[in-house]
Amino acid sequence: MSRSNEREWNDQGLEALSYAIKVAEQLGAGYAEARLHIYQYELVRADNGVLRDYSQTRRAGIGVRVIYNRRIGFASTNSMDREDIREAVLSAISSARVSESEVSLTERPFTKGMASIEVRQDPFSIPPEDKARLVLEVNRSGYGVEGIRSSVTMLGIQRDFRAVISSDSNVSWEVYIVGLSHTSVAGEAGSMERLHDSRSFAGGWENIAGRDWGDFSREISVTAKKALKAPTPPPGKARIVADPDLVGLILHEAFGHASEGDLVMTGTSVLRNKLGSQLASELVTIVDDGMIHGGYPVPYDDEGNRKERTSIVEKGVLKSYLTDRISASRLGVAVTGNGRAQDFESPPIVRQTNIYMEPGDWGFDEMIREAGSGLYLLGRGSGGGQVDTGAGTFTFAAGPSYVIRNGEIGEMVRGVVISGYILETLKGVEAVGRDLVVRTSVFGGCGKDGQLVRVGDGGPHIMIREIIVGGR
Amino acid sequence: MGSIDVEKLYRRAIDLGAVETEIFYVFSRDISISISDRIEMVETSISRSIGIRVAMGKRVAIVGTQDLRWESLEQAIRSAISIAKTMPEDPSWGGFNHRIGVAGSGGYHDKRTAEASPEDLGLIASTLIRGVTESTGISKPSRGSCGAGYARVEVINPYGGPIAREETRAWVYVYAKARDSGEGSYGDYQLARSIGALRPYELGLRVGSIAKSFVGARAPENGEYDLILSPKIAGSFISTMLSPAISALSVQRERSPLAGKIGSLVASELITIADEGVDPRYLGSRGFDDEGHPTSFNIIIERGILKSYVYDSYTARIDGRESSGNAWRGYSSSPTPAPNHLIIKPGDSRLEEMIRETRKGIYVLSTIGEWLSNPVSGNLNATITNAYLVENGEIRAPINGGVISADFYELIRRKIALVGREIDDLERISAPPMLFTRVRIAGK
Repeated sequence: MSRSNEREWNDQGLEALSYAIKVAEQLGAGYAEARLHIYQYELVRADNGVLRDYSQTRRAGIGVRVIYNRRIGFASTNSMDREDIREAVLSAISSARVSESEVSLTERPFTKGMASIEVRQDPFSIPPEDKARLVLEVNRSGYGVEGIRSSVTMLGIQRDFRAVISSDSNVSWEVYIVGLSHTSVAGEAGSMERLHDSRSFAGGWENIAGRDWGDFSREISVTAKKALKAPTPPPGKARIVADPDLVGLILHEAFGHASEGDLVMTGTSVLRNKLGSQLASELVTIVDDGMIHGGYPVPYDDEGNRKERTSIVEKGVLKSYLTDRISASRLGVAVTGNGRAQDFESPPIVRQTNIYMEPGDWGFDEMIREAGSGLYLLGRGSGGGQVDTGAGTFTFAAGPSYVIRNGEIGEMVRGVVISGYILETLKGVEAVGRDLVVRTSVFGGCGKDGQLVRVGDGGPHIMIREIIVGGR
Repeated sequence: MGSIDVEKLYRRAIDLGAVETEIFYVFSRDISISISDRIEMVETSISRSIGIRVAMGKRVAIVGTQDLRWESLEQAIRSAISIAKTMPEDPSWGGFNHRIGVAGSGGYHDKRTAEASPEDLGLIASTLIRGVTESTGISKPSRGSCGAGYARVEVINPYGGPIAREETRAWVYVYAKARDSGEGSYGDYQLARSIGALRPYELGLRVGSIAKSFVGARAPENGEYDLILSPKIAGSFISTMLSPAISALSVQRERSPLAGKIGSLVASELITIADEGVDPRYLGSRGFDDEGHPTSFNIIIERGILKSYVYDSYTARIDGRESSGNAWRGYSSSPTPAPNHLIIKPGDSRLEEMIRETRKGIYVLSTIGEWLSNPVSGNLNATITNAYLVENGEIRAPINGGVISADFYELIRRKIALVGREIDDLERISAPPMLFTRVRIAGK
């Protein structure tokens, strides 16, 4: 899209927000909040040495949330015509009429502000042929490794602009994120294995340029080949040392979701009525931070709240839930700025931003030695995880990992899946490392209620006494 | 409402210099209600999306936009043309889908569902809540939703169109908690083409009762068990592992374990699986696929023998055959082949018989994380959230936790013992319950 088109959209969009608020107030809404969302995405994909896709996506629209007669309603449109916006407001109000749940929003001082992150080189301004060339080179580098049958490389570039206007807020923010991912499939004598990895960075093209991505994809291929011959671990309980990528995943699934205020208030989380309880070892402090380095920047949420740094767990004690204005009001706790929406078509719901564990003072070698026997689990190549916050069960996959034997790292294992219980697993944390890595991704995110948002997670290396490991 | 002139847009692309153009237009209207033990919020959303794919010889690019102002659409066409011009060639590119047309005689669309009002859905949501609360006296819905969606899709390319299809869908989902001496929980859903086909009260009753039976659930002991999978879990496992493996693109790019296995035995004789694209009773069916090719019905596995893969026009051309009408895409991405709606042919065992014949087993109702399995290596994993221990033909204790790990192809080749007769419908697969013997479960 051209820049002039872009500006015009911003201007029209912001005008449309004010119009939506005015209409809602005229129609008797007690509260109205209008959100403009402009989203641009570019995906370049090479598959087995051939450029398979070059796609650009552009989305823009408005979401309107109203409280009418103490009930909440939401509607959206991707048209900027006054008539369509009026229609959306009417639809939000008629939606509110059907709701049975009385809602109040936690009061807040007027929030005003703008935020953006540093972008030295606009990634959308880089000529398409340069991006295509880079993706092809990286792809061929991974594909060229002997024994590799298939290789897919993707470059992802995203710009996300949001503005929220209501009677008590006027905020806007813009985030750029870029990243590259690679998947290699190794095959031999009827056996196959795949390995995937990616790196994403908030910011511009400067994060892509100047890195040796060929080395990145080659290394993935080499590890995929090695994993081909690795066995799965024996099933049962094991002591584990988890790397930062995996710790992020554990926290996101094991604690993050269960601390989401909307799940707590409806009784769908096992953390209900647990504030102040010791739920993890004293070594564990868990934070949700919108602006941590390495994560996905969330300066404001989609209700127009400033996203604060939230300590969910301090020294093992549950200190705070993550909340939006509705859940905070119903639970009688503070708003933490976690009301996030996938896009203009979705209302804000409680979501994590970037969840991580604060570092401790253990060295990595020391931890492996102390573990004695067990598994060293790596997040690279993991597909992610899932939780049932009501039943209290979570699960996640690890990438190719290693056996720990006699205090040393031994042979590789693959196909590792872990399962645990929210109220038990982190009580078994025996050691927390002094390193800290937080990552995000431009290719995926976290799904809840049909909405996907970008998140980040991470931590130091940690050691857990006992966890259920699947295997054959 | 809900239409733009795709033909005019197509002609404009040609005028602006596109050698070949395809326009893919989607209008969608969705309305949904979220609930706890009462109706929480109603959402409605309407969106119009356009995908413009341009080919300059064997150089292809795609631009998707939801900004439908005419000047923005022209801008999108220009972008697609200028990107396509600078792309490297795709040697396998042979043009857009050559056969535009519609299969079947409709039935994918229900007018009442397409026009559902917040009040219509409010009634369904209240009935669902009532079902749970009246089920056991101690069960309450803690989370759920119901909704109705309508979509209209139009396609035009140099070989035909515009053609249009309309489809609707409706769903109810509820997660319930039962509080007694401890807590039990369970969630389930129903999908249909129309809101009239939804059975919210029955679903609520069932979910409420099952939640109660999970009070005091524990992790199973580590060991080998016979595994009875409910239809939804059997469907979910098979769809996770098989759908990517039978996609012609995965096969051609050598990332499918089923590559080169047409005509070979890949499963037990008990297993027959078809892909249905036309019959409107199945939710994945539609008159034409996402590049305008008519859909079809194909046998994928017949009595254990692999018969065919699923194709879009790109992969069909590489294999020198006709597309099977299996192109799926979002508006801003290229189509890829995927099953329309898999149907696992039912057997003749009743679920009760499966349970009766099991000495030491687990009957699985719900799992999480099966999507983390690896369809390339065939390694299947899932974590149990709701299951019952079965001993000597009878249902015993409730189970929560434990990890199922298996080689999927070994499961369907050698460990399958019985295929049930009661079919349940998921979004793009319909499956009966299935019994597998001696599967490893990691537990306490």
